[in-house]
Amino acid sequence: MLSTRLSLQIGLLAAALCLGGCDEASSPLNERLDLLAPHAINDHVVFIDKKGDQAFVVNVTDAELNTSPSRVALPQGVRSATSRNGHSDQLLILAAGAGATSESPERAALTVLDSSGIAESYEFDSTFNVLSQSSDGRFVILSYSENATSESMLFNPLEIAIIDLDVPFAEGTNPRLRTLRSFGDSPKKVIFSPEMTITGETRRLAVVLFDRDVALLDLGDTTLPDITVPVSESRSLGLSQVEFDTVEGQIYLRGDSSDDIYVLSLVVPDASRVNAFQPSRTQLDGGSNPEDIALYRTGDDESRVISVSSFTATIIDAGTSRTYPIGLDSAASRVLLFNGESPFDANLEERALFYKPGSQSLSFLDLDDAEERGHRNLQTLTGLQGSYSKLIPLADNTALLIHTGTGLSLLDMDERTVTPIGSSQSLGDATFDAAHQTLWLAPQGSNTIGFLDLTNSHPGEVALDDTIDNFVMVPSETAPKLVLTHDTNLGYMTILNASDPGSSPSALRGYFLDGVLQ
Amino acid sequence: MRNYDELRLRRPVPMEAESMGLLMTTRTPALSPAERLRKARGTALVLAGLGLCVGACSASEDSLSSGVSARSEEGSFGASSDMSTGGTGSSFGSGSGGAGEVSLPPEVELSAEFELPKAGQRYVYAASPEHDSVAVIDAETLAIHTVEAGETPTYLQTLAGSDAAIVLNVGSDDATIIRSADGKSTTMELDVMTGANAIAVSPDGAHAVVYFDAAYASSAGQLGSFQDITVLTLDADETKQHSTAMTVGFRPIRVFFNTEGTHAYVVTEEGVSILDFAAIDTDGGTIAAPVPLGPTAESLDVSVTPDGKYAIGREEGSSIVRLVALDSAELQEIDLSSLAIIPMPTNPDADAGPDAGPDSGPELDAGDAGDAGDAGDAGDAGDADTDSGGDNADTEPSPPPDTTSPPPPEIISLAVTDLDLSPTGDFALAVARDASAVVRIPIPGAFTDTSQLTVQFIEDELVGSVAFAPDGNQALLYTTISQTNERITILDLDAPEDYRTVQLRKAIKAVAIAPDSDSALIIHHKLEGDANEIGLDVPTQIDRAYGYSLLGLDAGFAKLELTDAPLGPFTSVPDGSALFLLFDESAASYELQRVNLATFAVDHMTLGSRPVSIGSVPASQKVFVGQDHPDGRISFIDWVSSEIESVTGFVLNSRIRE
Repeated sequence: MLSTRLSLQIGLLAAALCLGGCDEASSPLNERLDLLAPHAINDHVVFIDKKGDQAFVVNVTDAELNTSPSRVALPQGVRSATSRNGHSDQLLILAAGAGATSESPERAALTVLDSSGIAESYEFDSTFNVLSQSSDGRFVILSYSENATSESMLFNPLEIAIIDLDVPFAEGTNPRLRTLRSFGDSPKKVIFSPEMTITGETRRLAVVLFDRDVALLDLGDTTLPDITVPVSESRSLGLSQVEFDTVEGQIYLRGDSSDDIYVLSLVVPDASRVNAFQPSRTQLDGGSNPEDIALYRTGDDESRVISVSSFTATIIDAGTSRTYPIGLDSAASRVLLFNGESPFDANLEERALFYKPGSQSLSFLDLDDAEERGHRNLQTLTGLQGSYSKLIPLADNTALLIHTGTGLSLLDMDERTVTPIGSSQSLGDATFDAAHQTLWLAPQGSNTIGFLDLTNSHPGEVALDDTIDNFVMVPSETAPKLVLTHDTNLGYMTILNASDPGSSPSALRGYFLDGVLQ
Repeated sequence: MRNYDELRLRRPVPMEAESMGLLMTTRTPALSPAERLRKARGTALVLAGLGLCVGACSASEDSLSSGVSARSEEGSFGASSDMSTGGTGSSFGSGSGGAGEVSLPPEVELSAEFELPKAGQRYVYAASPEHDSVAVIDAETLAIHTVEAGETPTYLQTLAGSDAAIVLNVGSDDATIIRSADGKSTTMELDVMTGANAIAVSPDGAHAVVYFDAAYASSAGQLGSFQDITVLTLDADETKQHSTAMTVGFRPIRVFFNTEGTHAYVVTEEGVSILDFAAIDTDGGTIAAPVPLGPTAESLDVSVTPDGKYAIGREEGSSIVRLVALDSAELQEIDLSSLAIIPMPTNPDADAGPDAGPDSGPELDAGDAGDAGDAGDAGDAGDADTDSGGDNADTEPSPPPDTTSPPPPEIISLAVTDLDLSPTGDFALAVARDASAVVRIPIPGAFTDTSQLTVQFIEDELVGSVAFAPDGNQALLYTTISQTNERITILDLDAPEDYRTVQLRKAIKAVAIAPDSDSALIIHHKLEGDANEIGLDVPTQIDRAYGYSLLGLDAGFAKLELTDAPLGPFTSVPDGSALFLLFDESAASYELQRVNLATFAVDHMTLGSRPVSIGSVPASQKVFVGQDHPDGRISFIDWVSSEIESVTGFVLNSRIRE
């Protein structure tokens, strides 16, 4: 249902066009916006127009549907937008600015946008195109992608910017730009550690992965030099996975092209070091090109690493480096650790689930005494209703298997049972709403949205007036919404109540025109 | 002194010039030489005063014809003139031949020592020849830093009691001295002789001797210099460190140091070259001409006393023990080639009590010697006795058989099969396997007064080797050449007659006594055949298996532990509470064992790759185990908790940048 105000505006605009015999080519209505995918912040949907260097912030609460959206001017050259972790009310927008040779030179910036506008803007002079943020949304590291190019003649691919989003912008210090040390490679990925006990103190690190080296940054003091650790001397490793042992103060690294798992123990530094720790590198035999690793502790509080590669799971004693390979009955490429029961044992113990997207089987391994018992601790589930493309962990040791094609299954990891749930649609693009334990399916181009309440396996669907362009879940303290946008220059969305999607939907149109007639 | 009925101590017989000093007596029925050998018992004082040549005497008619003799010569080798055959009227036989012509191979002395650590107090040093560096690993924190060495650092030795090491760089003919503290290391290079492959460090760590040990020449066949050595003067102040080239005797074999660390004694094939460090530091390099130790022979088993005054040695297959005073080069010898055994008289009155000394009991006279000849009828050694006894009988009227007179002494070979110096250096033990006897040789007294020699026969045992307990209170006697002899004897050096023999379950290959002298590790032979063959009895299975035993020296209790592979390197923790054992490269698993030396309980542990070396790191209470891994791997085991931590690829830690 259109808001009254917008309806009036559209009507006046149409009349003006007809009366003025205006040139359609110069009509603002005909200028297509260059929109990024919509994002959500509390009670609002944000549309970012790259071409117009602006953001439309639309309030979708019931009480404010008639409120004009706010338009926020953004720095030039918007590259990307992403929700800030742990802050549902903020959006991070990365912009490249405009170089000195442009008509309107402007610095690059990371803009923090909330419902009231720009909360903070961190300016710098490098055109980063990759944004990595910590899980709590406090730290951001900007860097260049591997294939990054620049409009300027020269650029430094090893340059990064470290930003503390809990601290206001300060020229030269926040963001802090620095150039990483390299042995000839460029950064591939940035991963943030959780809080770890390192040399007796709680610290957080940023781990920058190169192909075969890593750089460690102490986020507690970004003035300290980074520590560059050569993980391999000659071989390409394809470092891609980092796991943290927060108790032992260790970092575990896996490479896509490596058989070994590399361990960095963060120990008391010698007197010549500047940082409060120094890494001591060692390596473990991870089996044959492991595809995934996970860390756990035994009942005797000893560190173990479990790796998986095809038909072998390998338990590695991190202390002795001794390995215990266990043959799997079905191929696996991922491992999920959980603390739970088994059909044969009501004790809560560490257990592993091995799976592989595209497979029709799953394997469970009871980790207690698995080194000695080996295959006897293994149970394999086969003959699922079909191969699965995704496994989504849920609460209470359950998981959702999204099957290739149609259908999904609910996996109970404690009972090791699989409950199939039919579907006429492919659910590969379904979105899981953890807050409501609901699976939403809003295929692009469809005019129907489906949902599945996982608490009671009750399905439903809502017919829409137009085809779906994008689907956004809008968080709210009071009334979370589901927003489905439709493809139009004017702006058109359907709004559903996430708690009661079957209730009558609302619609909003023309929000991109707001202010055009003013 | 043990009291045996068959044994009586006799004082020397006032014989003719050819008579010998009496060594011991025994009641000897007609036995074969081997049987007599086994039956010989008891302890006897070697009464070598009478008729023996002592002091700086030369060969003369008055000299002893056989038996133990002492002679001193100065700086020359030569056959003892005392080693004459039988002589007349005496109950003596040839000095050689002895009782029983049992032809047994030499004892095999394996270097079954507790492995010297390649660790300092806190840091472990690992040379990386391909990277021209040495990794220094902190055993407490596992922090690793790497120091640059010379070209191809290969041979590494730590300086005991400190966090310092010397590594020989074979590619650049120098040595790198590494000193570590607070997570950092400093290095200094000193030139050394070409081809060096051995390092000996003085107890105080102030000097080191670098040399070429031909026994460890590389398979590439490259030889170093046989007579060049380098003396390294070490000091925490690097400006005082320097190297000095020296020339010594041919083919250095081993290096000893005196307790104060002021001198080194390089044992060569030509004798002992003495290095005076103070003089070297002041005057520079020179020729250290060797002090000869008798005839040139490669099998001299030489030791130097801790005070540096004497060197003692033997030759394989010889009964001669030599002593040289290193300051004067005065050479003395004791020939143990003859051991006379005089049968006990049957007259009870002639039996002396256990404390009988030389002055007790009837004396042995010529008539007795004749009677002794009767008893000497059996056996080759007795032939001469018989002959001599017969001769005696021919020259005098035949008295009625006197059963109270002892039979003529029998000659048993005392070829020395092992010679070990006591930890204090004030005496040595020589083992004569053919006689199952161990001779205590006070140093230097016995070489001038052979009456100081004491002999202990180990009844019914075959002993050819000896190992001293580090505290010098006990010794172990055993043989390594028999694959069926499964016994070991514990000798209390204060009361040797109270020796105890322990029955083991397998034959002995090597013995090592723990640093605290409370226990010993006995490595066993493995007999041919598969221990798991079906149908074998248990003893045969045991014999065919690898294994070792743990022996408590005080209690004489032994525990057998069978293994799947031969024992490899091992080490004891400094407090003597535990022993860590590796297995050789043929082992199928990567196992090591931890032995609680108080309870003999064995804890089996397995590592991630093949263990190849082991040592202890005292300051961290850990044992390190070097393993065979392409990137280098060392595991650290807490010797109390057995917790294990490993580092792999530690060489790359040298490239960490900050």
